[in-house]
Amino acid sequence: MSGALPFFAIGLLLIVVLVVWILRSRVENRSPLESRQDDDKSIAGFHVDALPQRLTDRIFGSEDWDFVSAQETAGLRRLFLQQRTAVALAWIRAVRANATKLIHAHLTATRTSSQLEPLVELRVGADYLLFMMLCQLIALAIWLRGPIHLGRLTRYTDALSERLHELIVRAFPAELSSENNNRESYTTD
Amino acid sequence: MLSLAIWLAGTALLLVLLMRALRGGFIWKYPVFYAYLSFVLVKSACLLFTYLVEPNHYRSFYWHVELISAVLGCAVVWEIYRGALGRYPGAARMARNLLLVVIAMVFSKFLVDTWNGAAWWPAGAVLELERNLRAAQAVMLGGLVMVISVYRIPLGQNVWGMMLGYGLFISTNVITLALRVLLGDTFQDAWHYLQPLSYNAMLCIWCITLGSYKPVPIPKTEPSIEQDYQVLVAATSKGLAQARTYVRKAMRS
Repeated sequence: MSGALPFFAIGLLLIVVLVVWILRSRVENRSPLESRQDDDKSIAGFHVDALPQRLTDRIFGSEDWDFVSAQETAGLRRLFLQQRTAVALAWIRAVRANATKLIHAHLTATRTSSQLEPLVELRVGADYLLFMMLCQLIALAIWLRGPIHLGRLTRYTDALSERLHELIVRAFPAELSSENNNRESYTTD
Repeated sequence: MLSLAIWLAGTALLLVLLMRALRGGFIWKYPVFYAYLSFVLVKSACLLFTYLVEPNHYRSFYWHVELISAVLGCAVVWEIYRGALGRYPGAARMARNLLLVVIAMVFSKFLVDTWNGAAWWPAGAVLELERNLRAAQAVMLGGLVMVISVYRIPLGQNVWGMMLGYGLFISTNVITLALRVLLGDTFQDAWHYLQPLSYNAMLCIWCITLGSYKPVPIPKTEPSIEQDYQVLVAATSKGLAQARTYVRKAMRS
């Protein structure tokens, strides 16, 4: 029986892959990649920042919270935390959407290239998935604790992301290592 | 009687497919695919002839032509790859290498098993080789579907239909072949109907999608500044690094 199991798995997996592909292609036929409004954005001109840095600092900073908490009104504090959580989650969604646009632009631009390298593509894909995972963890932390004092949870996700990133750097070819070693230098300032 | 009806229906569908391609003049657009269909048509006629005239030889004859059919099935996968990735040379190169490696692995395993004399009886060995070949085709098709899905490579209706029909046939085939190897002759009755029915379902899909020539759409030309692959990869990596830094900075504020 165990010898037949891999073949069942392969057969079933192919059916699942085909069904998902058909469903996805039906959705994309309604809004194909080429006709999307953001298609004119090239990779070089890509901007990741969902909001100006000043506003981002305000969302996650403690200034407003210090002011509201000084009012000693429990209802106001609760309302502030609810609204600030919603804004922070919207910010995370916007950042993720921007990263997805970047990957879509990358895929559209590289798919016709004759120089396509599978390992390099895997590395870019792993980098993207890692970033999405980081965003997901931060969104979970915001949902659990609110955006003001993320403290240890953020440090943990940050460290985890850093370790996973090092794994990706080791697992895939070194062509891009200079990019990643210098990644702290790419700021949005 | 029912199995004969299924058989005749399959042969009729094959004839429809070939006649349409001949009349539409697009048979030479997919030469390997239509060569495979012609082989299957001839195979069906030969099998029917053997079944009626020499029923004692039918079983061994069936397994031998079935093996040839499975090998030619690899050519269909090749044609699908060629049709889908013809305008995408990098992806096509990757796929070509993968295809050759997987086929070489399957045949090596078969040769080693045969050399070692492991369970050699014609039908069983051929059955296992066919199962392994179909599984290899399933892996290759699955890989192709994922590449097409990730890179959003547009497909024409013909290649889309070839891929869907053959993919569904291969997946059911791998499952039924695994059951046939596992259960032996007790599964023979179900196998007798399942195999041709799944084949006819594939032919129906092909009849719908290969009625006329629908070529693969030409991809839009990308801006010339982004033609260099290394530049593109560096720009994407830089964008992702910026995104990561942006998020971390926000969290630390």
